[in-house]
Amino acid sequence: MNYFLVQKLIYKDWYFQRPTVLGSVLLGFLALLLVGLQNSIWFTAGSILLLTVIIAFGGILATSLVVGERSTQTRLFILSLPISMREYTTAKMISSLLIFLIPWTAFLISSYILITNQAALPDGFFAFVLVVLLELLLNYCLLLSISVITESQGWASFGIIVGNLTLNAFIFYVGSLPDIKTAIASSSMVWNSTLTTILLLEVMVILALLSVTFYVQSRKKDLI
Amino acid sequence: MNALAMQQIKKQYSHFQLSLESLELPTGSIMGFIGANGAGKSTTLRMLMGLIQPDSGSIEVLGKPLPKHADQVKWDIGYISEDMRLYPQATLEWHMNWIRSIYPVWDENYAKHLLKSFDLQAKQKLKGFSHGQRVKATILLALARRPKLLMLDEPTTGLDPIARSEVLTELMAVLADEERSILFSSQNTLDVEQISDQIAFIDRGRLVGASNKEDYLDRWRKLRLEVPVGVQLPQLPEVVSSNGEGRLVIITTNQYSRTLEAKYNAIGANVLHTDTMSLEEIFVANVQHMRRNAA
Repeated sequence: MNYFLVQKLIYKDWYFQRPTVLGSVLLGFLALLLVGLQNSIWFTAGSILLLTVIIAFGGILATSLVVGERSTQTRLFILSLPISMREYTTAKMISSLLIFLIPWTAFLISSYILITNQAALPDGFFAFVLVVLLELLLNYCLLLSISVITESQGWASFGIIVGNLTLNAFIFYVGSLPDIKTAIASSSMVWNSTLTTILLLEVMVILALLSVTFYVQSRKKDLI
Repeated sequence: MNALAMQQIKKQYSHFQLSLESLELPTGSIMGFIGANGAGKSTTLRMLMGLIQPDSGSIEVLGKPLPKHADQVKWDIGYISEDMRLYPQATLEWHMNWIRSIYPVWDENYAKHLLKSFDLQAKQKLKGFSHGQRVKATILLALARRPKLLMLDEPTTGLDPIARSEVLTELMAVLADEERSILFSSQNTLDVEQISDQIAFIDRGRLVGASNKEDYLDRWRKLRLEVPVGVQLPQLPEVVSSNGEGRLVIITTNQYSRTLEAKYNAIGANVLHTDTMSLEEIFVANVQHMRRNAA
């Protein structure tokens, strides 16, 4: 593995995505500001905005970093460099994940600070936020895997639709579980077995998606 | 030694099959790879870059077998394709800096020379470049890393005559170094004729001829014959096609020699003219001949 070239490709992706990262971070902080206004309407609006920002950012990122390189024909320029499919996939997965994790981590930390410092919000609510944010990360990994494997705008759009539909169902279902309801309402953070199982499952699915992507890519004979 | 060699290559797609028996490019040569749209030129070049793997056959580039050593070999190859685009939101300077950071052999003085001779603005974003400027920028990025082998897939397509001339001049300059080689695919036989010393023709996925350019130009001729009534022209193996009815017949041959004229004279036909052929005429005649044989 040529780590030097992988690093160069990651830098290149980061360079082109800086404005998108900045925009999403600013919008995300605006959403968190609304959440912190201690008003139920603003809380709902802020939450929806935050979810929208993360979903849209993931969609833009996966399509522009992966599918976009094919449709804009810049991929051939990259593949003319001395890299293998393995190195290309590694660079693409790392850069896509790292760039997504920048606002994601910022929102996670900000949510923690906001929830633990707001008397109106029970600290246990953070556990639910963590579950939802991990689900968003999972959805992004699904979209990323589909994009990297298929390099198709159509399939990427399908991934975005599936991700959004499952997210709504997931929030509704998980939020209605008695153990989760208890955890959310608790004044301190509660890590009950239901909560930890969900978190563990999310992490396992994320790892499985990443592994499948590398496996499928490693079996590809043609780079284009 | 060969800069590249392909033997018994086969690649099957749903509606197309590439089947190349043998293609070799001696080090220090420039080969024009001529074929119509969809003939298999780009697929062949992509195989030589290790971007596509053949179903069978062997490929060796710069002395190393592909696809096993593709990553290693690509350090010494400058590949440019008509389908290739640079990042529109970045400047040419950014691209140059990025490529320089990857290739330790990047030649800054040569890059500056190319910037000037191609009349390109380094600080301009690629999205503001015309097609010709974009092609020249891509060529600059490939040439300034001083590759041992240049593989150019239709680089002059869509270029205006001035840009084409600038590009061809720089490609000729590359060959001042005898260790460098160029494989140059094009539909434009004029470009190829101008700069190549080796020619390969490809049609419908098959190589229909590969040889030294001078050999082609020497071997292919058109003979204008005056055929008196009652004289029947024989079927000669060196004749590729025969056109015309009545007294005036034009014969195309791919194995010209004085003896061919003597053969026609001997049966009573009168050879009025023996004309040389352009590479385009040779290409068309060659392809039509191969297609007739295949049918």
